[in-house]
Amino acid sequence: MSNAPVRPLSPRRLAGSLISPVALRLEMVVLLAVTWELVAHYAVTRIGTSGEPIFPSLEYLAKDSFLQMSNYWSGGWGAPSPGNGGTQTYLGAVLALASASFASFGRLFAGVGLGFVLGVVLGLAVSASKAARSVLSSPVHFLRMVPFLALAPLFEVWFGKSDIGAIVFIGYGSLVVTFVGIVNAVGLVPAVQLARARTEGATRRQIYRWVILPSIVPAMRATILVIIGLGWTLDVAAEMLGAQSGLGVIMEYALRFAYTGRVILVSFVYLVYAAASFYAVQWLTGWAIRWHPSQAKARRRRRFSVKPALALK
Amino acid sequence: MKTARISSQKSEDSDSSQAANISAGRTTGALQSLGDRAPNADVRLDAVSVTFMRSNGDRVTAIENVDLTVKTGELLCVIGRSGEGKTTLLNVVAGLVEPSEGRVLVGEREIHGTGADRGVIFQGDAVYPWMRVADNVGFGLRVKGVRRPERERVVDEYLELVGLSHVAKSWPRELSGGMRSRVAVASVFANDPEVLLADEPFGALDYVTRRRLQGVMLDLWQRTGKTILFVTHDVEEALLLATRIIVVGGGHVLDDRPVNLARPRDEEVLASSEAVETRRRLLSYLGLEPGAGSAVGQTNE
Ligand SMILES: Nc1ncnc2c1ncn2[C@@H]1O[C@H](COP(=O)(O)OP(=O)(O)O)[C@@H](O)[C@H]1O
Ligand SMILES: [Mg+2]
Repeated sequence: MSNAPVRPLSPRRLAGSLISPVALRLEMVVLLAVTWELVAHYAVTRIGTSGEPIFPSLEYLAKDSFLQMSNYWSGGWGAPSPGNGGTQTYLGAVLALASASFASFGRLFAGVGLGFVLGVVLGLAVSASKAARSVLSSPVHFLRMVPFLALAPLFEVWFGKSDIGAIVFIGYGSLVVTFVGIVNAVGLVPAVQLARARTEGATRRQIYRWVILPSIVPAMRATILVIIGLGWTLDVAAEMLGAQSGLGVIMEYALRFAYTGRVILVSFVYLVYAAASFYAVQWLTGWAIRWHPSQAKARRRRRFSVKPALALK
Repeated sequence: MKTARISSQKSEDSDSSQAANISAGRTTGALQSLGDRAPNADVRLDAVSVTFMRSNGDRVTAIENVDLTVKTGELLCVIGRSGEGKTTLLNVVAGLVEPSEGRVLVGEREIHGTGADRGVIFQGDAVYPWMRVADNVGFGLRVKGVRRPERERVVDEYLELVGLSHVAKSWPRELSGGMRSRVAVASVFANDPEVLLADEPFGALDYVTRRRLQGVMLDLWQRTGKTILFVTHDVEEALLLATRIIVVGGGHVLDDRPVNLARPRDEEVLASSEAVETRRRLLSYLGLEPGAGSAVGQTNE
């Protein structure tokens, strides 16, 4: 039997193929979609104050809610502005989402980039000098304890309804997380590795450049992945509170008028962006930790699976 | 692997003719400096004591009032039970630990802090995982500002001597424990220090790998004539390598004698009456009955 060139599809093999990782993922998506539809059509069919279903079906989201996105397009590029009497168009919807996304991405990268760079510089400075540590350490650790979202209104008061406010807010959150991560990582560099550098005659500068920095790269990368996720959260908060453009602004309008469909659509877009930027950064920075012992397995595995390993998260 | 076997064999059958080998022009650069090196690389400990403060507030005197002179070119093995001050003794010479009292001299100089003149092979794995093997070996040269072509030449030479030329471009994570130990050995020798300090460098390795590396170590010592302080808890290792063995216990030097066994130290030499007598004495210092010797030779810390 084991010599048979083609094995029959036994119940066991069928079961096996149904629980393979890829199949499982697809099955989950289908299951979610079916459940969603059942709930929308039979369980929660109430119409909200805005005249929209409070639990819109997938076809409602794809057609009606998506088309209504064009309301946030102010005209141009071949799509009229419904706000000024133009018709709603799918092109307008795409353009509205694209320009809002562009604004949100800009703020995200500016804020996260700024926060990361400052966090690394401050973290290294504090790790390097006792004086800096005693001055900076406790205030930053205190700030770490304050929930970031609780500070959002404060940033609005300080910076008004401006791009700068949102960027500074995202930057602040990223900085605090990065700072704590860096100080922690520097403290964990094995003593024997520092001792070796000293016995080979390395100066403090050389030790920082060739021992401490490379050895905290995995922690830096993990920090970037964390603050990318955090950045999106802070971006939503900042834009809902006070920005002129961006996905959060659409979200805020939609919420105010209880346009449930549009709230769901924008949430979904956020979800996709957060996941996409996470994986993109993970993939782009993979080379920086190719030396790490954890990568011996991950690299081999990657040949068989497109999904990057999450080992270092 | 192959190269290592060759070089370790060489050390065993060529013995004192190594010096001739070197002057014959087989090796270059760092190795060549043997002849014109300033002769005095003696290590002298002058009434050295080291006291540690434990985190619970207790004071521990790890070494107490130790006087010791290690002559240039000696291969001194330091043996003793665990926690008796071997690492501390080595760290004081390395400059990683400041003596609480007394002073340490290398040549005529009193030393303070670490320096590239004293290279260390650490007890733990100190190979940098983010540097490829060749960059690890060349690290000390890079620190000194040696230019790349010169650096590569020296690195290639030492990689070859320890039998690792074929993995020069590999990451340390791709190496076995024994190969990583060779990287550590090559790194230190490539730095061309005056004094070499090794802290149970092969303690974590299996028996066969350890025997090979002892051969590599002997070979490099005979080629370079470095002053070496070699800490070990393994009596057989000490008998195989040392020109002199000291026993450390309770922070003191309990015993200090030359080892005049012929080289290569094969089975026969190590079974001679002098070797048997030395082994017996060392084992009794470690609190072990003679005869348990072969077992001790294989224990790992
Ligand atoms: N950094 C330190 N702080 C406190 N005690 C230490 C420290 N280093 C070593 N000691 C103590 O000094 C003694 C000798 O240690 P060590 O030199 O490491 O011994 P060995 O290398 O022979 O095993 C031990 O009692 C150990 O607990
Ligand atoms: Mg020790």
